[in-house]
Amino acid sequence: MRITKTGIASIQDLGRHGFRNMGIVQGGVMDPLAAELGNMLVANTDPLAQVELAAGSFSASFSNTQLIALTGTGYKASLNGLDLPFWQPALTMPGDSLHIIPEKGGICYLSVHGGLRVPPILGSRSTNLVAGFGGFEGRLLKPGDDIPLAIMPDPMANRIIRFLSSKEMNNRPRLAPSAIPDYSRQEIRFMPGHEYDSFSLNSRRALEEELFELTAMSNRMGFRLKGEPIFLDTQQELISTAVVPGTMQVSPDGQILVLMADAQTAGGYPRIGQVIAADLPLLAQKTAGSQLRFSSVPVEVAETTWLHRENQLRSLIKDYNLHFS
Amino acid sequence: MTRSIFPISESAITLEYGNSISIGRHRELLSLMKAIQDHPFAGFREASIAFNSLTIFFDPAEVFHHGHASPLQFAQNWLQNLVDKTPHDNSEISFTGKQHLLPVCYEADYGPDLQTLAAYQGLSAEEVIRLHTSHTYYVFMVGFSPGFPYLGILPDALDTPRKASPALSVPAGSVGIAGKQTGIYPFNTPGGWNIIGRTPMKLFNIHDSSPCLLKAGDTVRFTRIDRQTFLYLNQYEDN
Repeated sequence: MRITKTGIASIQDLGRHGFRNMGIVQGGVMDPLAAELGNMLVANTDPLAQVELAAGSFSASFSNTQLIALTGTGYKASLNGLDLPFWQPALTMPGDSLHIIPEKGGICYLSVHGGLRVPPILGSRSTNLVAGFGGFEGRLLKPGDDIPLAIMPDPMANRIIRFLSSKEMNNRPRLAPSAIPDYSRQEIRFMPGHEYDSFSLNSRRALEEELFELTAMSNRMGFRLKGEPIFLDTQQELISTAVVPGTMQVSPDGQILVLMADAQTAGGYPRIGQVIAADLPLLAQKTAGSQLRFSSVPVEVAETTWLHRENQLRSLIKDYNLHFS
Repeated sequence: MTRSIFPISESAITLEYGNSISIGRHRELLSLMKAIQDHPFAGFREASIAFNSLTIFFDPAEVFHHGHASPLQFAQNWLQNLVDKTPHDNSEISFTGKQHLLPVCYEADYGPDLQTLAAYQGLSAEEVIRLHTSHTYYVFMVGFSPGFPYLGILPDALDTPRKASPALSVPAGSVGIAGKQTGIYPFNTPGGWNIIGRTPMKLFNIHDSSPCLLKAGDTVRFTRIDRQTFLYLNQYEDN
């Protein structure tokens, strides 16, 4: 796959585990739900590396027949000038060119059967932009990059390809509308962070009553919000400790920074909350200017919500795989 | 001694151990981390250490499938049980960290904040360099960016707050001071520490079998080198 045009795009998989003591972040996709569904649609039974497009347009040409799928939100796409819908597998022919154009923006995943065959580093193909390793030469993608792909489809992919090649157009495999994540929700749920009780009553109230705007100072490391300033009851010096994607840090100016996929391994700002794992994909898809509303849930609810969603995703993937096996 | 275990997400719990920084307690945490890594539970992913805390990461789905309705509750009980069984006696812990001697060039262009820091402390630049090179520092953790070591504990005479506005790009190899800590930037990144010198040694090399030069529990001494020696030893091709 040769990239002919690209906005902010990098190669990501589900991230790197086991190297936090070296200061190496987990990284990986910002929206694991869209990413996993993309891998499912192209018969990648293991989560494989994908292109994550975070801003701007993206164009690429294919030199072989490939099974691809687009997932995520905020973009539209075409293959050789014909509309290419999201959330369903599609077939490229040698010489085909793919164009992805932002509408309101968000994050889009391009999944290819067999995954993007860049070398894994420390067990992952995710791009670590700070240290410059992983992904494609440890950097963002740029025009002219030639990303190695698999040549031979496995039996399951072959069945999907046969399906797509048939003239029967209304029989195309696609995700049921109910299985497509709803990214329109404004409400982001969080569980109270370790320093939650140290914040003033007014601040804790404001967090759930006011709207917070996502600013343009947002990237894979963190989303900076703008809203009613939030303050501790008494200033305290904190000792740096582990932080994770979803951690809602409050900086000294009273504004919230939600750490995202490339969150550094440790931080020393007070944590008012932790965005629940089930809502992180929803937050990841928000764009600068979006208004967010936070609502707190107990940690038990955060946990059961995540386990429930994970269970739904696993059974959906199982059904899809069974259908084509 | 306060010791508390709490969730930081659906897939991670933190053990906070005391509310101050102590090398003795950090060594206890290191030995606890090793015990966890040697005999983890099903679904365990990794453990990471910080100044006065230890965090355990796990895959909740896998823990759930091993029959635990609440993976968080299970992990917290598991860790609490291990903490209760572990003797809290520093003398029991054998020292295993490596000792490093790191060359640093303190010339003005490598240490742009040396003069300001010296003035803030009412010292001469020479006295700051002498103090910085006359202590042995302990690596509490590696974080912020790959290979960045947090070293302590700095003598009181060098305890200096972070700069009011962070530098947009601190060159790789820069040695800095923030509060009672000293650290080294492995990459060109923004940073707010007071930069007093630069080491020619690489702290992180992804192509090495062991990418990080320094690990939590190691000790470091700095030794002063001149510009010629720096240029001769320099491992950063692009500087």
